[in-house]
Amino acid sequence: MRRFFLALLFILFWVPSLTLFRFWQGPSISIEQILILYKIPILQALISAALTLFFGFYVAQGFIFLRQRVSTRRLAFFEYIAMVPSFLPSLFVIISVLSLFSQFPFGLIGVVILHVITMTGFASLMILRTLDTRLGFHGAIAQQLGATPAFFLKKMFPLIFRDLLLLFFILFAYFFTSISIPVIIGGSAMTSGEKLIYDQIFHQQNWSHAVDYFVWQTLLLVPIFIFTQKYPSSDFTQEEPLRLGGSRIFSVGIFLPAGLIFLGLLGRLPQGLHALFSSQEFLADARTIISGSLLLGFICGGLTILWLTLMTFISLQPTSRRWLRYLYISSATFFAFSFYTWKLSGVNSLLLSALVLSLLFSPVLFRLGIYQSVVRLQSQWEMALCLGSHQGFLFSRVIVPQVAHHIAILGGLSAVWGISDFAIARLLLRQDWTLSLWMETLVQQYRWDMALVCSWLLIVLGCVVFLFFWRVADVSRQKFM
Amino acid sequence: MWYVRRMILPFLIFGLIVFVLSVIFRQSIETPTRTYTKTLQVLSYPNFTNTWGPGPELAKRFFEEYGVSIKWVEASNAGMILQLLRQEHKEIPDVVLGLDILSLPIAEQGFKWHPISLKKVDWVQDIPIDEPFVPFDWAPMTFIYKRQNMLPPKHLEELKQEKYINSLALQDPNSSSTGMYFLMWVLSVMGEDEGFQFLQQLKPSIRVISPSWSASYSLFKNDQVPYVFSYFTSPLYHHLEEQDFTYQPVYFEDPHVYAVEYGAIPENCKQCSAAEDFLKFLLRPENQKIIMQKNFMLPVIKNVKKGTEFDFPQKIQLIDPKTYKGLLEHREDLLKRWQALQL
Repeated sequence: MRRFFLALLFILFWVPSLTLFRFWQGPSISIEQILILYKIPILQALISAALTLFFGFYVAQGFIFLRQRVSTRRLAFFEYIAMVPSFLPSLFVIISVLSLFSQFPFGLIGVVILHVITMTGFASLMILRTLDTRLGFHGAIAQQLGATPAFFLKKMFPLIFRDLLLLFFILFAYFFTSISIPVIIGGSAMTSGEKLIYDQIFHQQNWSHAVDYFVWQTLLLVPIFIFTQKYPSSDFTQEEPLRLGGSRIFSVGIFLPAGLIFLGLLGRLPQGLHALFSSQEFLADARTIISGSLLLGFICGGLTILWLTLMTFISLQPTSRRWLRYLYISSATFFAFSFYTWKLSGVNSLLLSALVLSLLFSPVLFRLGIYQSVVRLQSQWEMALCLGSHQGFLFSRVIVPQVAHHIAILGGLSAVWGISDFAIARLLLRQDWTLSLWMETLVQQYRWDMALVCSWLLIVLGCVVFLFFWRVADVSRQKFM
Repeated sequence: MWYVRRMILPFLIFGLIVFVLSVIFRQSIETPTRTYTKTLQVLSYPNFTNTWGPGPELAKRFFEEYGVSIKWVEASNAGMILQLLRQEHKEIPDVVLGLDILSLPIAEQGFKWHPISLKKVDWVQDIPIDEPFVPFDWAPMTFIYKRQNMLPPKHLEELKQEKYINSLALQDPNSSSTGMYFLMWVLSVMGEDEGFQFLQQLKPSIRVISPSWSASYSLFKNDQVPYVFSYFTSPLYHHLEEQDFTYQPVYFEDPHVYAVEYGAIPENCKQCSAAEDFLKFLLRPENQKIIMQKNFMLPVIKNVKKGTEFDFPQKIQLIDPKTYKGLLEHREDLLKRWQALQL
């Protein structure tokens, strides 16, 4: 059964991209050319990752400061605030930052700045988690002994170095394959590897070159991906909140990116609301775009839950888990484009979009939210198998109850990302059947203010869908307790 | 099964939500046109087919007169339209709307088209007629600015002056047709070698080169840049829809480049006669007016724009399209030279 599911996932993840090789007319880009072409994307990804890690580390200090002064509930709320820029649609972040700064730099510098703004909150929470798992226990002792935070961190740095390095490579891969920000802010410079592929497919219509770039990108990213599978490198579970240190100044960094975005959008809200409520087109299309967005979100979330459950089942056996690391999509544009050639239309294309998006999000979500739980459950699983338990029984009675809550939450997150996607859906849907596609068309038609209000509406829809999955997560926890 | 039994209620609610949303969504996208016997498949770009574009109104009028319904198929730009045709999509379009002067050579060479005869059409001057391609709208191109900013230039040469440093938003000709129009404009007005020299000198004046027109126009709207290369008709949107009269086109004394959009009928059309009717229908004055008002482009036949905002007070000098038709024959080389400038 496990092999069957593994084979199914491999077919879904790899075969579509491979089908595009029929457009390949042989290698046409030399290594020298690739080195020249990849110089800026690699530089961009390296600087973005380094700066994100740097600022993330200091924002994590801000969290350490706050956790000693506010309740756990409030701290969780602040964590969500820090994550807001990472989970908002990129277009939304770009619009608001550009609204605030009239001379925002374009090209490489602009891309790096926006990357850092969007991912610092996420990185800070990952670093905080590393600090807790690696140093929390030692921190408590050091505090008792009266060690200064600077001395403690300096001495303990080798313990967290490997985790930080892995996180750096995760960020590097993310920035290298980033698409929305390089497309809008990067100008004509090819500031990410993904943009090179996007450009060949959408603008040059040279699919053979796109295959070339896909191969090179895969060759670059697969080793990084395999290497970063070990993140976090610590398998031990002794997590204790680190309380040593903390900085009041750096706690500002938690709110700064989200605050910037909020301010940028608020300024244009009145004009946008007026434009939206006087728009006949919106009233005419509202039913389609709202039902389309919700449907896409729910199906995307539902399918993600299915893939995550399958991945959890497969990964319980170490041999299969090793195979699971190859379920990696090195280029979202290329992957989505392979489904474009299926030529589906109507409602089927909406379902196809949901399928593609869920496949794109699942590996990341599995790494972020499930992998560690699976590693933790490994010993229980193996022990029960030794005692003669049946795999199916074990999985449904022991494993699922412990991960169902996380899977449902991640399904909700995938649903929100699905609703806010416009790049992949644009390719597969061809018509403006979701709010994000409608929003992108508004931007193309100068209707900037209306597009901003639609962004708010998009967030409301995202919240509705997320709350549903959140509730499912809650119910599953109660049912299995 | 144990898991399913415990979670039956959430599963049921999820299923019910998806079912209800599917029904609502299906009902909202299924227009009554699907029940009619004769349907014309028209491949075009989203701005034309959307509710606020001219497409739906034209489809309604066409049905009322000919009893033929229109089914829109969308592709993001002229390049993707041709790519879709190349892919032999199972829904072969009867009409393609949205080819432009730049994509015409590719369309002529790479595809077969159904002939169409257009007689007694009172075309406006300067529009290149290239049967079987039927022009349906056009617009000169220029820089757009906001009135309060500064005195606009009169010659392209002036753009390299110090007062225009960091002032221009252009589009990349590799990825944007407006970017290609700009390149054609410079090279047509100044000549190929001198044009590239001028572009090299223009570097300090360029603030951003966006991959798409929408990106650069958005930056201009957000006051990130004072001048953007766009359509002469772009300010009219702000005048008519937003009552904002600050947006103005720059009238150059150099002749302007211009964009023309064409429709055509693929050779393997299914409803060829209805497709011909539709293209001729687009050229009627009342329909040209709809295209003008909703697509913010100029009509291709005379006497439609008279007395409207689209009738510009000043005469716009236009370049001879033959000059850049010659340039387009070695488009690849031009793009390589553009890239070599590293703007």
